[in-house]
Amino acid sequence: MRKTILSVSLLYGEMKVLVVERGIVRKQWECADPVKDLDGLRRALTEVLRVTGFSGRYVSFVVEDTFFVHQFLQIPAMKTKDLKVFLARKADQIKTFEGPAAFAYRRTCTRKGGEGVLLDVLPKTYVDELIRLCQDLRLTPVRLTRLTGILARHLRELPIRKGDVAGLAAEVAGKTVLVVGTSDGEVLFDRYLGCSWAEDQEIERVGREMTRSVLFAKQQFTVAVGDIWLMGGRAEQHTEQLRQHLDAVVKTSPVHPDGFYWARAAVKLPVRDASNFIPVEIQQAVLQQVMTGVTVAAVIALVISVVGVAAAVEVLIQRAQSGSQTSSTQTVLLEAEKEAWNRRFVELDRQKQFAHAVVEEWEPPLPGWFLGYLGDALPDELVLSKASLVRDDHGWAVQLVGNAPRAMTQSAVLLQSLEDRLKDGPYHLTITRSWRETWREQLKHGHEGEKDVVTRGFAVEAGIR
Amino acid sequence: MIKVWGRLWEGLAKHLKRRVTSGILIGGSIVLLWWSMSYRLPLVNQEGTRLQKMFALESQVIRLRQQWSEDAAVAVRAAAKRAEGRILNGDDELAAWLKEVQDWAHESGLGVAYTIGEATSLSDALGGIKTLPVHIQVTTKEEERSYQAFLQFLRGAVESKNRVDIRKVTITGEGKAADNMGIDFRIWMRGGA
Repeated sequence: MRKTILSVSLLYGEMKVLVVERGIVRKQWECADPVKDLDGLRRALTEVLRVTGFSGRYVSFVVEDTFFVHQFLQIPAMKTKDLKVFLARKADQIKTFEGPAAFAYRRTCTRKGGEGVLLDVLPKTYVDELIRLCQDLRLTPVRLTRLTGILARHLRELPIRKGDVAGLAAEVAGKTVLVVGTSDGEVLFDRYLGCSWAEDQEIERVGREMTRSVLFAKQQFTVAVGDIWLMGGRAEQHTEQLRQHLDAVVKTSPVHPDGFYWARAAVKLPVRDASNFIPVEIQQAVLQQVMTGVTVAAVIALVISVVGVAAAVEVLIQRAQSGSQTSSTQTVLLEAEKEAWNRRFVELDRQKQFAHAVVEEWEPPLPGWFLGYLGDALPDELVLSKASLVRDDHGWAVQLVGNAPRAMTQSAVLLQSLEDRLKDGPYHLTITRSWRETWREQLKHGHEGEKDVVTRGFAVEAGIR
Repeated sequence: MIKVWGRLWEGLAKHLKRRVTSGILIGGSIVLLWWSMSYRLPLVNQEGTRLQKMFALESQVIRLRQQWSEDAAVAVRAAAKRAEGRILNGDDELAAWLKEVQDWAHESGLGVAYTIGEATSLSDALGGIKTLPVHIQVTTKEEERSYQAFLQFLRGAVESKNRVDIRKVTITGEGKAADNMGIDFRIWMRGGA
């Protein structure tokens, strides 16, 4: 339901308009002259907009006129798509005018199987012209319907027992609209009578038509119409008269419709309904315009954003490339400088190692020093035949070979003295083979017994670590 | 071709034209964004990486500059120069040294003979330095103070300015005095031999 809408009732030329804003009726307007055609409607709507200052977009029409063609159809059950094709063909068959037909329909309940359809037909040019004139006035028509929907809705509000079938007859501009349906608003069928009970001379005719309708309901739907409710046309004054011509209970509706009732009630009807002559795409024109606007805006925003991002990336690339030449040159220079520094450090390190190896790792002339010391440490009575120092992995290997006096006691003292000096002297020699071992070998081999020998050989081996 | 497309375009309904236009714009935007992100943006990143590399290089160079001490370098160069002075340079200097050794020996009344072995290269870090084994045999006929003369000779040999390492010394003598001394040297030299 639209909250802000211009609701128009055009019932047999009587035009009444309600201005509804945010769900509240703000203004009402009534056309003084009968509106007989679409030109008249255009003039009237222009006047309405001028007078009421309506600023909304939507307009709703509830229309009753003689140009409507109406038929109740009983058809086999079928899909909506197939039903529309069938009804379009049927509309062409039953139309009473030249040119293409527009149709709307309402499904009804049936009691004999199959499906009931209330088909309304009117010239398609009427619908198209109505749409065009609305669009010319910057209005979007959302509804063009007959009174049946309003009456069906009203059926639900009447005090009818649940499950009962009742008739609701409304007097509209000297005509009668009759709807027969259930207490929950389900329509069985409707009828449009060219007479009304408001005219005394037509009461009998109205009663007769209503009786026929009751019988039709009984025959077609096997239901008994319990009550017939009258609405409008000073119904309460004619109820008693009608009862005389009707085989049903005649009651007066608690609602007494004023001239704007139909326009007011039409606002509450759903627009997405098959009984609406206005195509869905026309109803949604405003929404489509908004959606189109939003889509266009979104697409433009997307395009601008993407182009912006791409441009930003290009700017970044340009900046990067402008600095690239400088940075490349600088990188080359830095690499060359780093290489030069590395060469300098390597060369310095090499020189350091070289100097260290040549100067620091120089071995002191220990053999010379030791031999000098040996000259002092060797007792005079001992005579060396060989003094040898050999460099090995651990230091120096020393070998002393010579002769001692033959007197064993004297020699032992002298040799022990030599060994002690070697061990305790400044070079702290480690004796690896003592002079005693030489003597033991001499004893083994019998050198001790040779009488002509004046000296005794010895050998001492030691190490300087 | 253009006319055919133009006719096709004219034939399209208004809402279809809108959809086709929107589709082209959206598709074009997506393609542009993909191309920009996939092919163009990496160029910026590459440049960023290059700059990072340059900054890293710059900091390395700065660190090397800071590590360098000119005073230390001068000292090392001086030490290296001094060390270089202790290395015999080629056969000429070797011959001069041997001549010097012979002169010492003769001055002290010693006889001298030498043999030269095969040179051995030291590590690469020492840049072509070799050690040359030289065996010197010193003899004397004097009995008095021969030992002292040998020691004098030995001292003179090792205390020269050249880098000379003693590997073996043997002094022998028959009777009361030393009459023979053999010395194995390792002489540090560059080139020659």
